[in-house]
Amino acid sequence: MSVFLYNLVICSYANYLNKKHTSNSIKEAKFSNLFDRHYNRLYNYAFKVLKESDPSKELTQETFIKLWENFEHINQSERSIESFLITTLKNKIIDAYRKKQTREKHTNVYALNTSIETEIDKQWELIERIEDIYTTLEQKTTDIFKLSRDKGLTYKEISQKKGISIKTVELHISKALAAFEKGLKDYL
Amino acid sequence: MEHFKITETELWEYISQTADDNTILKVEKWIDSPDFDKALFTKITAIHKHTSEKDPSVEEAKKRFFTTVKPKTVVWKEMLKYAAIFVILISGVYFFNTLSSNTNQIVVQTIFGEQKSIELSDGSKVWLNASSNLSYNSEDPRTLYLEGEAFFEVAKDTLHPFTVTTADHITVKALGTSFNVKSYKESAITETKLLTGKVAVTSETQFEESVILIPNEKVTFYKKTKEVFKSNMDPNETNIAWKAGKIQFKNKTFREIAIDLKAQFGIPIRFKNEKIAASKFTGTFDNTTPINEIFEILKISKDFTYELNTKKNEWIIQ
Repeated sequence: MSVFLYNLVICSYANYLNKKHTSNSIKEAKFSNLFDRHYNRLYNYAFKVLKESDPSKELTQETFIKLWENFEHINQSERSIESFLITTLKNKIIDAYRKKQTREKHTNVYALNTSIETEIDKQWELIERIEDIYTTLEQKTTDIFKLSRDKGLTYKEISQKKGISIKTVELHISKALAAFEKGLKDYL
Repeated sequence: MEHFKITETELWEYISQTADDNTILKVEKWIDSPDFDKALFTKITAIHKHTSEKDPSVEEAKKRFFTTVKPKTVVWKEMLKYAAIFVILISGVYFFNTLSSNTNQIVVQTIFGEQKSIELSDGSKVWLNASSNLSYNSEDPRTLYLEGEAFFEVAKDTLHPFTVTTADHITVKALGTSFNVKSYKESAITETKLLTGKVAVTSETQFEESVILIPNEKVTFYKKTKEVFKSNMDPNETNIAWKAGKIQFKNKTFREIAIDLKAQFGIPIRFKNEKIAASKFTGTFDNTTPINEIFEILKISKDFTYELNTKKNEWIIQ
C-alpha cells in the first residue's frame, strides 16, 4: 500500500513537471516571437546612442534576460511587454553611457553637461517616427528605398532587380524622401 | 553663367554613395556653384543619417539568449524529472507505462498529393490535406497544432474547448462546429472558413481582438502586415473543394496558387516574372489532373511559359 501511495505521489509530481515543461516551451515560443519583433529595433536604439556594436548587443541581450526573469510578474499584454523592454533598455543605455563618459571625462568635459535622458528619449522618438513613416509608404516604395539605403544598390541595380524602369525607381525614392522631409521636420 | 539644377534623387544618390561618376561630378559642381542649396543638402544628409539601420543577426542573438536563459530555469527541473522516472522504473513497470502514455505526442503527416482522415478520441473528425502536419497530445485531443490545411468536424463538448493553433500563432477556438483552416508555411496568409456552428479566431501575439465567425464567413490573416479581414464566403466556397478531390481557386494570384500546386504535386514553382506571379486566376481542377495540363489551361487566359528544371526539380514560370 505504501509503495502504491509513493508511486502515486511520484506520478503526479512527474506530471506536474511535465506541465511545467510545456509552459516553458510556450514561454520559449513567445520569446522567439518577441525576438523577431523587437530585437532589431532595440539593438538599433542602443547602437544609435552608443555607436558600438558589441555593447549594443550585450545590452539588448541583458534586456531580454531581464524580461525572461520577470515574465511571470508583469502584465502580459503586448503593450506592457513592449514598454518593459524599452524602459529596461533605456536605463541600461544610460548606465553604459555614463560609464563611458566617466572614462572619457578627461578628453571631453562638455559632454557631461548635456542631458543624456532627453537625448535618449529623443532618439527613441526618432526611431518610432521613422517606423511610422515607413508604414505610411506603399510597400513597394519602402522596399525600394531600403534597397538604396541599407543595401547600397544603385538606381540601375534596383531597376534590374525589380524589373522596373530607372525613372520609376527615382519616383519611389523621391516619394520616400518627401515623406521623410515632412515626417522628420522637427529633427532635420 | 552656368546654372545647376539638382534633383533630390540625385542628391540622395550622391549622399548614399550609390551615384555614378557623372552624377558625382554634377553634384560636386553644384556644391561649388552659387546655386548650391545648403539647407537641402543638410536635410538629405540628416535623412540619410537617421534612416541608418543596422541589421544584426536575430537568430544568433536568439541562440545566445536561450543558451544563457535555459539552464537556470529548466535544467534542475529536468534532472528532477529524470530522477522521478528512475524511481518509477524501479518501483514498477505499470506506473511507468501510465506515465509514458500520458505524455504521448501524436503526429499525423501527409506528403504531397496525399490526404488523410482521422477520428480523434473525443469523436471529432479531421481531414488533413496534402503536405500538412497535425500534432497533439493523446491526453488532450482537443488542443491541436496545424501546419498546412485541414477540415475539422468537432464533437460537441461545451466543457472542453477545441482549439487549433497554427505556426503563425493563430488560434481557432470552437465548440461544436465544422471549419477549415489553411496555413501553409510558404503562404502569405492564414485562412479560416466556417461552415457550421461558431468559432473564435484569436492570437496571443499577432492581433489583440478576437474575431467571431458565423457560418459561411471566413477570416484571412495577412502574415506580413498582420492585418485581419473578415468576409463572406462565395457560394461555391461553401463546399471545401479539396475534400471532394478538387483543386479550386477563385481570383487568387498565381503565387498563392503555386503553394497549393506544390502541396498537391510536390514540386516547387519559381517565378522569373513578377507580373505573372501577381496575375489572378479562377478555376477548378480534379486533383488527378496532371500539372502540365493545369498550366496549359491557365495559359489560355494569360500567356506564360513553363519548364521543368530537372536538375533543381522545380518548375520555372516566365
